[in-house]
Amino acid sequence: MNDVQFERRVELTKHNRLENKIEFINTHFLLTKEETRDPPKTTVGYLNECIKNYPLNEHWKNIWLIWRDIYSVVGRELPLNPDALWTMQVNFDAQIHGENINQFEKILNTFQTGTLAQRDEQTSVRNLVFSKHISYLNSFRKRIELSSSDDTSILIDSKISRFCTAISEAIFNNRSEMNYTDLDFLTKLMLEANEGDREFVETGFALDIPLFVMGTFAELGFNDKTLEIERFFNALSHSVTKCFSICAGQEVNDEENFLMECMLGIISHPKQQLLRSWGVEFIVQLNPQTRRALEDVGWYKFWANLEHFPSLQFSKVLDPTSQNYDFLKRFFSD
Amino acid sequence: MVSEEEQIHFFNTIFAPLREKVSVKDAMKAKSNASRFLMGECFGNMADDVLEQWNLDSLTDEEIESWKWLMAMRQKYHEFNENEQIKVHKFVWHKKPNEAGWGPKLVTEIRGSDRSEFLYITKPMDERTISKIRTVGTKFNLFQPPQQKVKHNVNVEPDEGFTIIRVRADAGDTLENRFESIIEHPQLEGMDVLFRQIIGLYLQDTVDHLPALGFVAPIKYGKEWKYGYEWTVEKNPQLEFLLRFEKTAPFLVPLRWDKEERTRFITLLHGDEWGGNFMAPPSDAGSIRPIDFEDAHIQHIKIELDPKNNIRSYLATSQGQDSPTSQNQGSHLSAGGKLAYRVTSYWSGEAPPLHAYSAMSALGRLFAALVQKQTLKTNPQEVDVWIEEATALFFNILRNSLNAFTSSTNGTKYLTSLGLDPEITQRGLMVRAVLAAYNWSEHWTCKTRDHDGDEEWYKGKWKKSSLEEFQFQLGVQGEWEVCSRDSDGRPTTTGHDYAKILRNEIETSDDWTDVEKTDIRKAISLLEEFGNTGIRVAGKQYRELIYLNKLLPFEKA
Repeated sequence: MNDVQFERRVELTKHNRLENKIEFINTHFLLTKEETRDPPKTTVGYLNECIKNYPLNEHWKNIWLIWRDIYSVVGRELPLNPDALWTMQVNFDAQIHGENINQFEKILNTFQTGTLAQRDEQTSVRNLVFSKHISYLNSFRKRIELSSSDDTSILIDSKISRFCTAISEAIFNNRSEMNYTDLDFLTKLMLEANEGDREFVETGFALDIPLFVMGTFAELGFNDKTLEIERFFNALSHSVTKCFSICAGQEVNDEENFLMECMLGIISHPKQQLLRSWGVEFIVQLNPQTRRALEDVGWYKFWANLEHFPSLQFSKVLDPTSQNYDFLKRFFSD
Repeated sequence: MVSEEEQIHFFNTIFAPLREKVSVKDAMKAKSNASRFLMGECFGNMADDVLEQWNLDSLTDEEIESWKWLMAMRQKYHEFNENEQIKVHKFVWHKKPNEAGWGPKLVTEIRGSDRSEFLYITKPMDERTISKIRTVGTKFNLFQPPQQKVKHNVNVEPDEGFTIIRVRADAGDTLENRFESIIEHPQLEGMDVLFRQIIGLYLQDTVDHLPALGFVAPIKYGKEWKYGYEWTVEKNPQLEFLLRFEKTAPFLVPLRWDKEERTRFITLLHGDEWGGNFMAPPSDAGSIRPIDFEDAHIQHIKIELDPKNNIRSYLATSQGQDSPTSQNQGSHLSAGGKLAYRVTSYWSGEAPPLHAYSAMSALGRLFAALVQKQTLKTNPQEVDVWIEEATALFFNILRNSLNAFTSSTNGTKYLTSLGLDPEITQRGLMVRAVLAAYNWSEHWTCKTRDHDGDEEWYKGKWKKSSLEEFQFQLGVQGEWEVCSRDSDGRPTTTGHDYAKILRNEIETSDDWTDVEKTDIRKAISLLEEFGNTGIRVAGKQYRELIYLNKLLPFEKA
């Protein structure tokens, strides 16, 4: 914390005031977006100093819920004050955030046991924790519908997607090998994240995870069409469809050429290029019967057309600084 | 001819629950044999004078009284069951030693076209008890919903060998049966109507222009919940917050008044809330009504009204002793049953504290009782689905009903006079109802069931899976009740709180120009959109305050 210099800011102008508020919002936004108890130390230090210098009182009640989050992140307990009734409300994000963190840690713990065999033993615990947490999140759907007549529940969908994404990314960033059981869990995450009207909040899950899972296929034997792989392909199809529609933008019309143009413009990030290349590989692998069945499916039509564009060399787009570089290279090198 | 050994065996069977703690199976056997004897199915060919010759030397006084009652009932049974219009509603027999209440009883229902008459036929009672039950029953009838067509005093008549308590009421089906028929329907059709009818009994704002609900001061440090000691932080961290919240809320209790003396208010506690003790109305209109007042408690209330009948302060118990012979003196009355003392561990005396009459707690208990009973009758594959649906729906309707009260003219005046924040009070009351349901769900985990080889699937009288799902749903419901919501009923999130921070800027500072305010309002609307969806939205073009684009919840254009 020594590197944090807290400054009581003098707000000489209205613009100083507004900029400070923007900074406060941005700091908090970054903090909650992390979805873990491990935000950058400087952020923690900044918030700690904020707490010391801005004690909770009536004046601050409008941002009470934000302070509540902050207290939990910096590891302080903020008891309810029965004499200050306004402290009794809880922001929905804060409620979900706390529960997400608990379940997130429980699930990740099942990946901390080291060997594949040990992780296998944790499978049922991991799946149970995950299923119950998704049920918990989904339980609010009915309540929102009853309370507000809003049956779209986009909020819940985004919470589920974000939760699945956060876990997937944590797994992706911390594992260098996987087995079919792990693969099954990732497939489950993808299915949950894509179910119904859910959309990806971030594209990382759609792009990074399939890449990683493809690496796993390489390790396990790509042509081994197990049930897990079939399920993964199904989940991936949903995933890619959603991802592409978001990349293309909701307001874009359905005209295929225009969509293609958008996509080619957007696909510039190395991982996205990699996915495109992989898309070509994937389409080629499908048997003629499956191809005919998919002829009218939007994402298939798009992917099938990718064949007509120069494919990229996998090895050129791999990031040498990635901790998974060696592992991925085994599969993706030419 | 029945041998003396057979007689003793029969007595041993039917009086076993009075002599020792017996299994559920043996208690059922005792009841079944007593019931069959009463109906003439057991020793049916024996003349009454022969039965009167049986040797009663081995029986206690209480057993002899019960035997004589059984004999008297057997002789008159054909009158209580003479045609299709007269239906035996239930038969109650001894379940355990030292029971309180009315003891064995036969409840019949004489059905008319639009009304029924219930007869509670009990063992003979002394004059004092008869008078007490008459008074309590008549006052308890004030609890009936105002839509009820039949209003009358409860009639208690001594007869040869028994006492008959007569209660008249509109026709209908039991709440338990009505709920079961709804659960059997694939779309759970009619559930919302039934829940409104349940809540309607307890949350009547006014009756005949007089207040029918009143507040009792909160108990910040009291021990409210009987099973609360199991709600440890480790086991149920979800509940910790709710318990703290609940202690800030006042109690809402039902109010009624004597017909003859409209300034003398009472509050009522049914005391044995479950689906078989309430009747659902025959049509969609009206409310459920309570039909069994054996465990009821009635408390006279001190109430301070202004000239326009607005309540000015928290309610308090009026002074005076239980005096059933003089309606104007007694402050507390009960009909003798002790079951009401189960509702908290805080009290066990004759006069329950006023908060025990809590309407929200009673509703929570009644809902939990409906769910518990129904889960035992439902296909296990379907239970989880309807538990979630029913829990969410029940508490949503309850919240709307409560909101109607707190925002009504009377409710607003009452809250204002007590200095209560309407929204927080309402949330506290909702949390109390959720906790009451949770508390009562624990109640059946302490009940024993007979060994049948399925013990591993049960906890007390709950199927473990159903209990787990119900308590899970109550936990979610509790969290939902304390979540802040916008005026459309949507949950507010950090996006809304970010918006508040910016809104505060233009509402409290007058140094922004109109153009700048427009820019800030644009950012506010985007933050609210982010709050409603949880998805980052595209930023907008600002005319002056370009740096608003730096807000991270926005996607960069």
